[in-house]
Amino acid sequence: MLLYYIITAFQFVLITAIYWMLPNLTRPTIPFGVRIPLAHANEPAIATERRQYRTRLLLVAVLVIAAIIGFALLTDKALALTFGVVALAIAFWAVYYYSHRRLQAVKGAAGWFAGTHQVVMASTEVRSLTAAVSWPLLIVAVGLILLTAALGIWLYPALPEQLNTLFDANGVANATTQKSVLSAFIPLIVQIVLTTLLGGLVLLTGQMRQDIDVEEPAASAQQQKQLMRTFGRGLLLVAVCIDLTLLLIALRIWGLLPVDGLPVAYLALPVLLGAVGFVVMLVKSHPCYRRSGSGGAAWVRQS
Amino acid sequence: MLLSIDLSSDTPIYQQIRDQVVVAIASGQLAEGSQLPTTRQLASDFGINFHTVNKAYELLHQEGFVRLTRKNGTRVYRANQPDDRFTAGWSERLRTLLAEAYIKDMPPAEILTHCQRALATFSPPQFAEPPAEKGLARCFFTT
Repeated sequence: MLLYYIITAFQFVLITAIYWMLPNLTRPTIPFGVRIPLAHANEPAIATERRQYRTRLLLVAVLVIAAIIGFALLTDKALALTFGVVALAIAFWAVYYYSHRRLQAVKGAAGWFAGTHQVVMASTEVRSLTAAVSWPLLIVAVGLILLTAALGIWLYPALPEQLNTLFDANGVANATTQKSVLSAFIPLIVQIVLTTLLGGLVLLTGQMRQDIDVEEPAASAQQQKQLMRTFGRGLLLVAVCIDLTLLLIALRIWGLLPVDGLPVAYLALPVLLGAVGFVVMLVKSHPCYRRSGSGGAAWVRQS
Repeated sequence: MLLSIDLSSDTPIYQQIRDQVVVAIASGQLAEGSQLPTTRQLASDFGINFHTVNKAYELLHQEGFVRLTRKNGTRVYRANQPDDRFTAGWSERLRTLLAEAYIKDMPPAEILTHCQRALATFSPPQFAEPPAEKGLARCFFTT
């Protein structure tokens, strides 16, 4: 139960952090999802709305958490926490949408777009299907699948008739199944399916629609290209980490890794590292993250 | 190269695309042989119907500024010699443009200065570099 509380608390902190950072993550010309001219990006009304948004966010967080605690004391704790996470996300979205509507009203009343033309820009650069593919990472992912397949084929004849398939948190096997091609090769099948899905997503990423900011077209087009490549690389990094985790799971099922006494958490370590790497890559490619001097980097605050 | 369309302009969108591609070819931003994006990609990036982009490409093709092939897509093409049909049509359009300036009492010397300035922005034909090694080839054969 303690683990469940920790995971739920982590979810609460994560959702709050995401919504707290959201105004800084969007482009200066789209604060709270409202498109504005660059000349008005530093309007005091936007800075005020950001401040008020965060105050409202904190108030709502306190109210929702108080409600969850009350609900948990009166009813089932697990149910209250599960619904609490969903309720918090919905409440935060409502706060964001409220700011969106308020800023939209300010923009309309002040006529920020008065006397301007609606212009759309696009690049004539041809985007190939493989534009977002990182070939070294793809080769590693496919290599891991081939390694799993080769090891599986080599070990299959010598595998015991009963295979350990499920393990508890301490790494003790608590379920077995009859040896078959399906039960022995299930990690390989999952590897192939997930890598294909993620690979397909990378191909789609390369064909993603460009959304060029007409007020900073060259910089915007460059950022889009960079983001597309980073996203593709990140997805393939996750695919490599998932394949590695599944290889470890396969080795465990086939008895090449110690079965008992070793916590299963280490199996998830590659996926966890991959997810962290993906987030770091996305953050570093964000336009707000600027390199300064020799090795320093920082988020530029949008006032 | 970046193309832009003004959604509130009186000029049709296909005409805006066609005009910008022609100017880009003349100014050297689009080299001879360089590939233009597919109609679907450009339409998606602009958020417009792909038939509109198709119409612009068809117009460019008819006027001999691009070549459309099933294998290589749409590629920029600079014909060396204008034919009589082109010269006649172009002279007519030029006459209209000059007439507009003349009616507005723009002095002929100023009209000529504008023409010279525009001509000075154009450059002789450039040729697109051969496509770089892509994908696996780039991974293995580049350092």
